[in-house]
Amino acid sequence: MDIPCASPHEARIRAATILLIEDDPLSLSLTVAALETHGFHNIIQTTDSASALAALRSSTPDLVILDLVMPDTDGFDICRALKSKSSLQDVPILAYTALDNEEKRLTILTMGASDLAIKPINPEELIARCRIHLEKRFILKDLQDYRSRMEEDLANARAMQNMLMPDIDTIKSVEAQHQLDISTLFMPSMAIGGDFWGIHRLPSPHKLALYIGDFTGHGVTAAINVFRLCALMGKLPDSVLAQPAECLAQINQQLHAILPVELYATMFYGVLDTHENTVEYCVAGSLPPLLLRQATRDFTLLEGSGLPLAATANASYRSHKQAFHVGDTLMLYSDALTETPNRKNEYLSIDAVGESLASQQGTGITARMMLKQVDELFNAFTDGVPPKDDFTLNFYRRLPD
Amino acid sequence: MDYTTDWRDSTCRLNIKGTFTFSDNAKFREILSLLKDEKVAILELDLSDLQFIDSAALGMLLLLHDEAQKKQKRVSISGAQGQIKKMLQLSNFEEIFNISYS
Repeated sequence: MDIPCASPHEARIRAATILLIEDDPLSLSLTVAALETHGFHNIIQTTDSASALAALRSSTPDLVILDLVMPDTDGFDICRALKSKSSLQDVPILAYTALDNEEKRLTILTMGASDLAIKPINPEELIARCRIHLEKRFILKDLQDYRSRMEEDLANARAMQNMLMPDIDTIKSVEAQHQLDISTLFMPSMAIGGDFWGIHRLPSPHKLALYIGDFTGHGVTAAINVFRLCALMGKLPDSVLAQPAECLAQINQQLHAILPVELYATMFYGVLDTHENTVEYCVAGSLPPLLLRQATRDFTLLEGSGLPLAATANASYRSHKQAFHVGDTLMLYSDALTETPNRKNEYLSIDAVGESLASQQGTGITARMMLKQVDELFNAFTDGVPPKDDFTLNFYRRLPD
Repeated sequence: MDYTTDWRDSTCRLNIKGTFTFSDNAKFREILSLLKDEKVAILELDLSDLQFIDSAALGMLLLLHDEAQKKQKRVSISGAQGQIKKMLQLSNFEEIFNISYS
């Protein structure tokens, strides 16, 4: 017979594995005949629940056709067995029955059967119902496959993005070279996102460049742009990387040439000088980092302003200098810290963070302890609501020589 | 985000309310399409009733500026307060837009 409306899944529908569970030999052979007439050729025939359950252990059918009332079981058991196993729970069940008990018919549907037909069933109707459920099954399966492939890709991309950030060995050797205590946290919001941070060694042994930034948007686009940024920063000479204003101006120019108008990045770029006891920095639309001072047990914000990177073709940046002594700590953070609303729609103020840390300066508090404290403060403030944006925290504490 | 428009000759004044974030992309496209109207020479964004703006929304403002420039039209911003004012100042947006703070 001609198929009235060919499905894009036609070949798969005909090749589908159908598990037929029916104790009555006549019904069984009639159903098999109807299915075969319509091109179905992978039919597993079982006549009792034991052989049906055995078949389910060795293969995963695309559709189960289930007679509800069999002598040794009521069919409900098979339905239960299917739904309790994760690999089988998406298999559609087409139940059919002569049961005129409305309550029992409802029970089978609430237990997860996809459809219920009343015996005696017209073969054409049975086939039509089979086709509907198989088509749905394949669409769902394709979506699930696509989704798991995407998740795998995102996980790979995330691993690659994490590799762009300094690894533990780099951090340890920078700590040793510059007498620093460093602690970092990087939590992307949606598998991968637009936050980035880094450190760069400079030829001068007492200078270290450090930066934090955020590309607009989340997900794959933002992450690809982080890769682009890292690639172009990798090509900048050390002489440029040692000068915050020049460095941001060049990054801006190059990013502007490749990014669409509405995309941009914010960035804080600073150069620590442990001889001069300073941090020289520039701001491209980023939030002001927190500087905790040990001697006075207080804090200040590294204020500044500047056009976000890629917003205009030729932006220039003003550099600022701030004292940064032994015992002082610099905290860099992404905007998720202060721009994640809590349940009352309030935002955590950076001053509150500064105050909570300032009083503990000089008490032996480490970078790791400060990071933990800020993370806990944030979680208490937002009451565990996860940030919608990436969350990055970097602490750099100067240790005595 | 919500907005109302108020026309005066070739100036279209938009009063933007609420929060302006990534999710307002569709609404923003409507605003962007106002620039297609030949009648419009100046788009004035009144942000005095805006409570919050995120970085994606600032990106949309850059897009609006770019479109306006291509069509030789002007975009101005006024009334920004609190977090919105802070974000505009932090990003030096006054170098791009004509911004007046109240």
